[in-house]
Amino acid sequence: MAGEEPQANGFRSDSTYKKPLAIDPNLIRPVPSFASPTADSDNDHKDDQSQPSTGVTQPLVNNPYETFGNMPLDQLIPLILQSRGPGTKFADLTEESLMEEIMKDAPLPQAQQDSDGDLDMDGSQLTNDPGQRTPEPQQIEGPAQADEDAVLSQEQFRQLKASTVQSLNLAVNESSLALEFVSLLLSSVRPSAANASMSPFLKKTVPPASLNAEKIPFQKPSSDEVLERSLIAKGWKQRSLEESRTLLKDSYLALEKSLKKEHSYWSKVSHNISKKDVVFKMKDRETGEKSLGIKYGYEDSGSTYTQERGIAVLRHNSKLDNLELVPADRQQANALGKENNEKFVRVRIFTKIEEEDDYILTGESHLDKLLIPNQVAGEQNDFRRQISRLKFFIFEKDLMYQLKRESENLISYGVSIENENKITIEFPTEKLELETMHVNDDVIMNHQQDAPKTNDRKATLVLIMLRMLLVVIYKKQLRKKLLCPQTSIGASAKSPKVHKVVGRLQDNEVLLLRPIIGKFKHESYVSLLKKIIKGFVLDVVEGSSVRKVENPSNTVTIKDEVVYDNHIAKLDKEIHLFDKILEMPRSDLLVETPKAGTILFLLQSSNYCNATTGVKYTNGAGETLFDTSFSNFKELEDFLHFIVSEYVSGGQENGVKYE
Amino acid sequence: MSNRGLLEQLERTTETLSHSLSNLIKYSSVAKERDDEDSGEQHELPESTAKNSTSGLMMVNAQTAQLIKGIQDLLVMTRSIREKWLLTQIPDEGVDSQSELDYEKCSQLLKQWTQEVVSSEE
Amino acid sequence: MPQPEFIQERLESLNAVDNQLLSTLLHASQAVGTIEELKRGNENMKSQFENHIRSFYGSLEEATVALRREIRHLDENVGTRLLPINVNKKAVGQDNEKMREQFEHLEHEAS
Repeated sequence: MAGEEPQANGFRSDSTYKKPLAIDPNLIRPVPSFASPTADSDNDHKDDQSQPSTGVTQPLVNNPYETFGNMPLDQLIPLILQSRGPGTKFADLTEESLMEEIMKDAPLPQAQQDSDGDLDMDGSQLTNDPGQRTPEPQQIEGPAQADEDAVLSQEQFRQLKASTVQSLNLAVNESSLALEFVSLLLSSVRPSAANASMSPFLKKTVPPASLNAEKIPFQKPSSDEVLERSLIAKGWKQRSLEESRTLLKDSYLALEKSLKKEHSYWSKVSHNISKKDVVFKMKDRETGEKSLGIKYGYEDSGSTYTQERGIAVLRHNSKLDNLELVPADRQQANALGKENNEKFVRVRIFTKIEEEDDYILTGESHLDKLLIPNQVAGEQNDFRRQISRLKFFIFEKDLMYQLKRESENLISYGVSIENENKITIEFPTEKLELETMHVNDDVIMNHQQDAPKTNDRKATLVLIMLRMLLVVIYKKQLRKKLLCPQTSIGASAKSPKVHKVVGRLQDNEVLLLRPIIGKFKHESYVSLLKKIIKGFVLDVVEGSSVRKVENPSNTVTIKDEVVYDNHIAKLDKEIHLFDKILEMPRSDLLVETPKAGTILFLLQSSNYCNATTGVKYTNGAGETLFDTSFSNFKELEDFLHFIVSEYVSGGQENGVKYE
Repeated sequence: MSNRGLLEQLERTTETLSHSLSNLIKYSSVAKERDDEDSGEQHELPESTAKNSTSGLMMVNAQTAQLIKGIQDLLVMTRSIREKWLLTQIPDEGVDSQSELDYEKCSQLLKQWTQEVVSSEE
Repeated sequence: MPQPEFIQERLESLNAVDNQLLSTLLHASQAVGTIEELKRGNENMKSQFENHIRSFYGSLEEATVALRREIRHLDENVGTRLLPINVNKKAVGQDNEKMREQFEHLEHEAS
């Protein structure tokens, strides 16, 4: 049971109510509890009187009997005189006048009931009464309690606790002593029962049947005594009943309030959370309450981004509705301003101006509609919109992070990381810029006011493709996890270091920029190759033509084996959708000459961005004379020149094969 | 908390609650009716003050607290049930999950993308 | 409708149980109050006392019965609607969502 109210012995917090004390509570040693502020002005003097036995600096129970009883007379009398006002003499106090005064106080108890509803709930009562309850109306009452608790310092609390424990021990001792006594008494009459109830210590020290009792004639208490006792009993019971009723009523009111709040919270939660959302119990770091959190990050869907946790707290704002925040990382960064964390990726295309050797902005990607503040109000929309926004931002952050990682390895191909928010890719005629922008009004306004430019669409398409490729990476991760769960789980058991590696994406798995750049570069290589061919073959040799040849070997062999799991099959299908995008670029060009055979150019790339050209010269007789590859276009030119001059134009055949 | 455990706890708490109230009433009995009858007779001992005060205190601290705690426990139980319903639902694979992507359309779109973005490089 | 009807029903009945429990407490305090009055000699409170006690037990019973029903529902649905205890819910499907979203954008752009 909770150690609760001090009211057992009396002075109430309500100053209008004073029931005369029937008995000195110290005779019974009630469980001490929190001090009740009394209206008695004499309290100031009580502080001088210490309670040495319990060792508590702050008297728990302002027990007038104790304090006044222990006070020496020469202090007590002046106090009494003081409280009665100046000019009274002690000799004037008579029993009759005192009795009258007491009678006057008696009718006051009625007032108690009226003040029922108005009884200002003491803070300590709130923390005690729905005592076990307060930690549980999770985030609702938490902040209010903090103030009340500050009243009682840690030190005081410890002392109170110690004194409580001491009193409890005392009670236990007393009751066991009583038990011992009784069982010893009993031992002379019924040894078996006594043996069962006596403690081993007693059995050793005192021989059984050594205590006897004799009857002494019962002194019937006088009727006065009986009356008095029954009065006391009645009064005591009355007061206890009243107290119990108050307790019940107060806890009812408190519970009602908190229950209302809870009901509203749960109804809002149930309206806004769908079956698919992952909601769980967690501790809200900011307020310290237990609360519900929702997971919005992409972790379970294949992401390996560990810099943000992707969890938001469903906090109850009693005035409006749910608020959401991201845990610790966001809350720490809150000091810097909320805007800081909302960033998105923007793609810009700049076209080179030949004359000025400068770039102008020709295209910019569209803003996602989530970023534009929405006028549509509506509770559900707002909530889901918040979740969508959070998802969007964490995705963008992941995207930029992976892009940066990838760009580190692509420096030799014209990709440079200008600062932590910007990646620039240079092409012969264009420049591509990927940048993370903060969400603020200027950006949005500027975008909406800008006139549409020619390459806007292309920029947007590039951005969309980047996002889709990131999702493809997620799916590949998922598939890997599904297909070989041991690598991720077993590894962690053996060596945590390995686990980390498995968790993070390998460098060659991050394929965001490379396919896109690769495609661009490939096109330019093809045109370059065509120019070279034109220059060295077509113009030189008459009647020659060039055409593009389909490369047969590039189709990915679809596994014929049956995949047993639907999920893996689905993932496979989705990943295969992007095969064309993700495949290594390759083009074959065939130059046919009327008499001297054909030259097959095989332009491909090993990492999307570089280019190797394979040259295969088959002469008119069908023999393959050359089959080499070059990574340098200058060498290719020279070689081509050599072939053409030696074999094609000259028309002479050389039997020697060069490998 | 397994469901059987919940059930048992429910039973126990309800039992306790109903007892608490009756105990409360019992403790508060002041033998009022008997007072009227045997004001003269004193064959029974008048209740000692210790007994009175103990029972009074017991009544307040123990029984009332038991009542309140019992109610609170039951409220906690409803909350835990609520949590279970809301937080641990299995998403319905068939109904809720999105339909598959239209693969044809998607590959078409991707081809279009390639044409638009890459070929324009020419 | 984010939550299916069944769940809504359950939540509503749980709310009702909560209110029942609250009123049980209220009745208890009322009963104690009437006893107090009775002790003072106010004999005519006897019927009220009876009422209060009766309503206390009544609401307690209703709450108990309803709770029992709820627990039974929980039991029945563990395999189907609810997860067993030691499995964590995972937020899958978000990649699909994103993919779908981007395809829609693509479509929008291309058209």
